[in-house]
Amino acid sequence: MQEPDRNLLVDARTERRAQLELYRLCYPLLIAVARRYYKHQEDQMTIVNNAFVKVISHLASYEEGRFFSWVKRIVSNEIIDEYRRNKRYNELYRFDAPVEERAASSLDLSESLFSDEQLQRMLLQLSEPARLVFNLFAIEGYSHKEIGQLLGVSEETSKWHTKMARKKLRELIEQTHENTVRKSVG
Amino acid sequence: MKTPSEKALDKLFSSLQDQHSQEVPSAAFLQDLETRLDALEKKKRRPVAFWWFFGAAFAVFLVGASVYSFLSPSSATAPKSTSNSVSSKSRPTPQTISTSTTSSTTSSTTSSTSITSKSSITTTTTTTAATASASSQSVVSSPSPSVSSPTPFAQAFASSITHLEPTVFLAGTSDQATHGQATPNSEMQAPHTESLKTDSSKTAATPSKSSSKKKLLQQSLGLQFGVSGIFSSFEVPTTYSAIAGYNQKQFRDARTLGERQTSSWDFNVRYELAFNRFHLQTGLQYFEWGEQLQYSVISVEGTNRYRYVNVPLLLGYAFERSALVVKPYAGFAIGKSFSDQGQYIQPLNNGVSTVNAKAHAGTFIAQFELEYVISPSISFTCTPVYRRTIGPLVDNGLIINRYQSVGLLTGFLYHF
Repeated sequence: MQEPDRNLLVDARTERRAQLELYRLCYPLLIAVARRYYKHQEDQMTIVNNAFVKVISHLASYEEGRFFSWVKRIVSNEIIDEYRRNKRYNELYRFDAPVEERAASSLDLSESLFSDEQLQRMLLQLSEPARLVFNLFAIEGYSHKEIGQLLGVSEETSKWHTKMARKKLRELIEQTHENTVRKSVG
Repeated sequence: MKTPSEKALDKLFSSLQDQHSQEVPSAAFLQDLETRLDALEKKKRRPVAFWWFFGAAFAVFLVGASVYSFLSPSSATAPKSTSNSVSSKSRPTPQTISTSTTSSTTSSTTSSTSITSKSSITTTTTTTAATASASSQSVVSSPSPSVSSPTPFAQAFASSITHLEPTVFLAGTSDQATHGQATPNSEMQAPHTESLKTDSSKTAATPSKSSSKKKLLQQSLGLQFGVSGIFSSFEVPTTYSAIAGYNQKQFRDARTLGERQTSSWDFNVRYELAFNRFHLQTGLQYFEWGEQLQYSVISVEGTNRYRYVNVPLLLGYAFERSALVVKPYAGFAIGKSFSDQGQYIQPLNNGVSTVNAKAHAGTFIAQFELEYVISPSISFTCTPVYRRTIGPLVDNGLIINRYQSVGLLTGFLYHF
């Protein structure tokens, strides 16, 4: 993605027109991140717009650098904050059962068998906490220790949710692959 | 350690990280963003109003304090000598205090105070009003009075007593004036020596009526505690394009069933300035807004509490009837929140959304104070109070809440 013009960033601190222009530039990145975490459109919208309002209110403190990396960090933090704010609600999801290890699939996952849309859909079928932790661990690159600190849960909880997520994803991958094969044969 | 299959799986999904489509935001997103940006702009402007209001309240306090010090009878009758103030207004202490005062209504006052304790402190003061010059002499732990420089401590102590103890000061000077007018010569000839403890206790027990009548302005400080019941009312937007399948009636029903009133602990530190029968009140007030939640449909329970520290500005009028004073007040308060997050059910009953109450909020306050005068300086207060938020306290376009509360505050007022 092309970095936004410096003048646009300066104008966006105060001018509504520049703010909307910057929003259009940031939107693909913001919505892509939000879609990995949230199923519902209103949740995605809350995250995208709250994150962008934070971008605008902190533009004065933004210094030279990779603008979109900075925006991405803001939206990730917003998602984590949102999780913390909803903790009472999310506490309903407690882990209590051991995860049964599943035999590794014979599918070669390095081959691009799946489209981005399919992968996105699979992610959204995970439970909310598993999706959050898997996103942070496997996609954003946080360690279990960091995730534990960010979300206020133990390292073990983070590992448990990651395992749950992988198990579910493998099932979904196999299902999707079978469906694809069936369709192509049919 | 990741197994090869785990690595492959994680890698497969991490490819999503860099996939950005070129799609543009929908109208719903833009509309929602506009609302949030408007709120951001208001938020930036609001602190200015808050500080103006806070400044106004503080100015009332300062003006009151300075006008009081100018208009109080003490400034007219007593010479403006700090060292004289020390001798005539000292508080009673467990130590042995003896004062000898020679006063004259014409031009000069000579006083000396000696405080005897383990370390003896002797202060000798000479004031000449006619020449507007004053000198203090202090001797610390010295058997013979021989030191001759005004100590900064003595001056600071004297001035602090001048400002902090006007009641005692007024009574003392009033006594002095009476004595001076009645028998000026005898007092000059035979300076009386008496314990200040006796003098000050006499002052508290039998305050001079004439001095209190002379007061045009009176100040009070008070503390109040109480509890209030909070009633919330909400609006539900008829349409909300940001959510597909939004149903106003369904959302209203879910909220009506799931939200109920709660209560708040209240705490006030108040400063009051009375001019004849008119009373101006400011200070700091702590109270809360919020509601209890019990959304059984999504199994979420809890309480939303929006906590505010407020600066009020209330105008009241006093009706006196023997020891009882009735003071109706009305006015406004501006508050700053230090806990402003709440949760509400989402319109499609698929979870809760977090909202923020206003960081700065205005409140209309009406109260009906009943004050029982225990002594000239202390009163007991019992105050039914009604509060109402000015405009919605929570408003994100979907959740729009206003609040009212009715409470009872009790406490004490100290008049000076």
